[in-house]
Amino acid sequence: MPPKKEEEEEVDYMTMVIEEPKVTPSFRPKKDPDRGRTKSKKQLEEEAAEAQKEAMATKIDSSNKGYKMLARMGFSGGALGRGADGLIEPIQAEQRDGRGGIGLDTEKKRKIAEATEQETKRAKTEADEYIKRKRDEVETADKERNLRKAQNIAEEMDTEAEKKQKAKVEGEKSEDASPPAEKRLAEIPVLYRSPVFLRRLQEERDRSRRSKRRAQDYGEDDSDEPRDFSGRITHQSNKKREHTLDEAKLKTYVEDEDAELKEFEALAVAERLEKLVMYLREKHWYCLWCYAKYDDQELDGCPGLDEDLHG
Amino acid sequence: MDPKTNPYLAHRYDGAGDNSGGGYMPRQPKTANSSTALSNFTMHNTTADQARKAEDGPGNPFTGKPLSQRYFNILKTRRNLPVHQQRDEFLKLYQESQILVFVGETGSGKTTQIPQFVLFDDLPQTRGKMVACTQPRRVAAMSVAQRVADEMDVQLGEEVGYSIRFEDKTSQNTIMKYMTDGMLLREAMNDHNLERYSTIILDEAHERTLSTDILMGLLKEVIPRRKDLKIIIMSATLDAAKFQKYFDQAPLLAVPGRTHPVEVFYTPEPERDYIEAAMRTVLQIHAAEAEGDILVFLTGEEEIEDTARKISLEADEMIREEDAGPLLVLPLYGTLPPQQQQKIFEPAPPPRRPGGRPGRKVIISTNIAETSLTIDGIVYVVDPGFSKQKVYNPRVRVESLLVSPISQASAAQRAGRAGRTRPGKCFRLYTEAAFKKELIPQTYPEILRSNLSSTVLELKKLGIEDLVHFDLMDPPAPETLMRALEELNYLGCLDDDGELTELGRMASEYPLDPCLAVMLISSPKFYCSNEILSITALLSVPQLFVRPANARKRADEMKDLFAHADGDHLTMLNVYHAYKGDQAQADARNWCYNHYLSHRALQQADNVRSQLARIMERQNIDFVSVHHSHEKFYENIRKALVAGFFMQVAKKQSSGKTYATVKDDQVVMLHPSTTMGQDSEWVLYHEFVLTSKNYIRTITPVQPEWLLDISPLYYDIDTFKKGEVKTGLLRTLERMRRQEHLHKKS
Repeated sequence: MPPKKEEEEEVDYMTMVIEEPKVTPSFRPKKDPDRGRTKSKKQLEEEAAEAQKEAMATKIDSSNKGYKMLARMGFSGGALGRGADGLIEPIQAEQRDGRGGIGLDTEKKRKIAEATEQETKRAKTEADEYIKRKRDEVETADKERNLRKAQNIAEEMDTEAEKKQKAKVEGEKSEDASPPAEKRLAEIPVLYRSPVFLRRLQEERDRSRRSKRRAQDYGEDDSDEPRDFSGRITHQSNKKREHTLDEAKLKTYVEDEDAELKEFEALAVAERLEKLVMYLREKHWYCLWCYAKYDDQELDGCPGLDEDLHG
Repeated sequence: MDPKTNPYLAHRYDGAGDNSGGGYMPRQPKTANSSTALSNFTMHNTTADQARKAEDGPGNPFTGKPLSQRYFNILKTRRNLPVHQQRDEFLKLYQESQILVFVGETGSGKTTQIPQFVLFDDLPQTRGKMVACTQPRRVAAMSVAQRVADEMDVQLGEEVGYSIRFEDKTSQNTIMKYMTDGMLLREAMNDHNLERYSTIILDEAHERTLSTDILMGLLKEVIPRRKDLKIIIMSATLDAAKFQKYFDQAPLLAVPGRTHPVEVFYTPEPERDYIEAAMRTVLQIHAAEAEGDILVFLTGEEEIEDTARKISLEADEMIREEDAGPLLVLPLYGTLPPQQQQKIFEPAPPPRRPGGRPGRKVIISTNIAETSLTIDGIVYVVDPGFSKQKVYNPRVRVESLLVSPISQASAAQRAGRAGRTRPGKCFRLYTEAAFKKELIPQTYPEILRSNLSSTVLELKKLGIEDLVHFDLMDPPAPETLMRALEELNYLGCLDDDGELTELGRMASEYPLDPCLAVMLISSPKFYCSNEILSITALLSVPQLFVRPANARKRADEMKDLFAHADGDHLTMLNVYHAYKGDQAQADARNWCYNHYLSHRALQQADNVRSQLARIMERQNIDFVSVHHSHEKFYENIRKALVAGFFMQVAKKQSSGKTYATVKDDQVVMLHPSTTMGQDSEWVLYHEFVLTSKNYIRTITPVQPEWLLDISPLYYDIDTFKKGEVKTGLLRTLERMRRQEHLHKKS
């Protein structure tokens, strides 16, 4: 009955349309960033070349009809021939571009490999050097800190010792000991002459600043010091500037006026530190690393001269 | 060497005889002729001395006719050939053994003399049999046959003949048959035991052509069945041990060639540009080396023509400025017209004035000058180390000709070319280290580099059941065989068990690629077997259109006269129809010349066409056509093409100009030579050319409906990967269903 058949077909058509969403309920449009973007010619060529390379490297597998036919003829993997000594893999065509002679590619590859190796070597040495430099920097900074600490301790102990000495000399007769007069730089031991020099500069500046402030309080302001928007003097940055300035002054002083200090400052940090450590030990029986003053010249109980020995 | 005695030139000195037809009629043994000198000879029991006496006449030992003066002149030179020194030794080994491996370097005379030595001892005429000698190349088979006919003082096609694809020049009287190895293989398909031959000589076996390799495997199977059959494997190189081993330690005879030492030079550094380096080397030789011709090996026609032109220009300058000797530059490649090929045998030009510097000739050749052609006078060889080599990749099903490094064996062969006349020099344009490390020891035999569809069909027809264990010298990769089986199965030539079908049996009769054969056999279904026959013939000959470098524009204009918007196959058909027209036939040579068409190719196509028609007649295939004004005339032809080439189809990619092959999804471009005038979604192609870009050449637009209709097995949609091709096919299928539905309704 033709009409009925037609009806059926129409129904089929309808169901097909209705079923469609059911079939792909989990479908999500892929978020492809390249979607809709036209690929460049180069990109397309590269993709095609890549696809070709891949196809050439893909073996014909057992789902292939030819494979099945050969299997039916008795093939079970391996090579063909009476002694099964034939080729396993087909010969691959190697495409050559340009007119480079035989061996040129290999030579190029060899040169590239060589250059790469040198590059890695260089990079490696650079890395090693960087690490070493950084380590040295840290070590030097440590030593400088220790040097300054030792210098402070030495000065402090010397001053203390001098005071005691003076007190002993002057005896009990004079209780109201006047503060000692400031020593000339040359009289200060070379070991900590530099920090003293710097401190004196600082003290000098502080004095002048104080006097300036006093003047300010009286309405005078001839300060050329920078101020922030609220009118306060921007102290922080000044300190840094002053420090550099002082360092420069010290340098000039060392260069031009103090040969003895020049000689000492020329030594490496480690050596200067060593000298101070020895000075403290011998003169004050003090070990910088033990943070302790000993009772005898031998420093009995101290593990030794090196910082490393102090755990 | 007198060119008249050069076997490769023999065909020039004797008018081509008529094609006497030949055919495979049963042969009658000749009744013993008491008047000939051979009457007292006993088969396989003769000596060189006896043979020499017979050769000395007075009558022709094979025909009894009186011998000409030319015969005796040639005989004198023949007896100077190195092989003659060892005639007795050869006969002894030949008589003792069923298989003999014979090594004779080029110039030893093996190709022309050994078969004659055999004739005098094997006496095939007494048993109604023949001696066969195979050659890898058609030209060699033809010219050597001519030479040997001259040497034996007989008419070519009579006692001595040749048989090549589409041309058989033998007769009832033929006892010595030169033939291409492919032809012998075809004969074996209908004559599994090669009954008509008493001795089979496989010459140039070192070239390891596909057919020679198959023949060797086949002969190994035939030998135990035919104890009376003798086999000689002839090779020009000394790697004969491999042949001996393959033939179960067959005895070996080696005859030294006439060669002189060759000094080999390498470059200190790899070359940036081998063509540039080759030109530089040639000019340096011309400027600084002693007299002697130069042979340069390059890879292809275009490269060779281009380099030849540049060298000529440079040489002219040298002559003007430095009073150098004249330099004759000659290209040489397979597709060069024969009369131009012959120029390479001309002597070098004389000095420009008496006492001036000597002239020189430079031959710039493909590797055909490596083994097949022998040019005397070459003293210098320039070898950049490349040749164009065929490689087949079964994974992507592409057979491509790529410029690749040659093998060490090839390099040695090339160098040897410099030592033919006197001690020579070979300039290798690569370093010695590169020679050792980058060149493979031996060239891969053709069987490892080819699509084996035809071969598998042949093997099946030859009755080889076990393809897996068939004893080949170098068995191919299994995947190559799988692909061949698959293709033959899709074509309907083999069933799922790999057995030959009726169609396969028919297809194997044609000396054609299975795709072409199947197309031809199926063509009556599309009412166009006449046209498909023409197209098949045209596809089987070399380049139809001539496009000389200096007249490309004009050549393209001429081609446009024949251009058919529905593709290149129909354009070729237009050419053929025009060529067969009265106007063209009035002066075919001139007509071809004026239209930039190859007269030779068209003549050949004509010949191929009639040969194929004969096979079709035998198979009772109808010759049908509709009138060319019929609206379906061209569509029918295009559909018929699909019946053979449905596996060579590409679909346009959505991205633009490129196409993708249907199953392997390889991106390809239409070859710029196409005449296809429309923007077709689907195209069928004859060739996939893999160069720096992937091209498909000889293209015809097709409808996807035809694909699904004509080859439903191959276009089974479930077997396609997800992608544009599958989507396109699905859409087509939907459209077809709708139309069918509408059709039913109305």
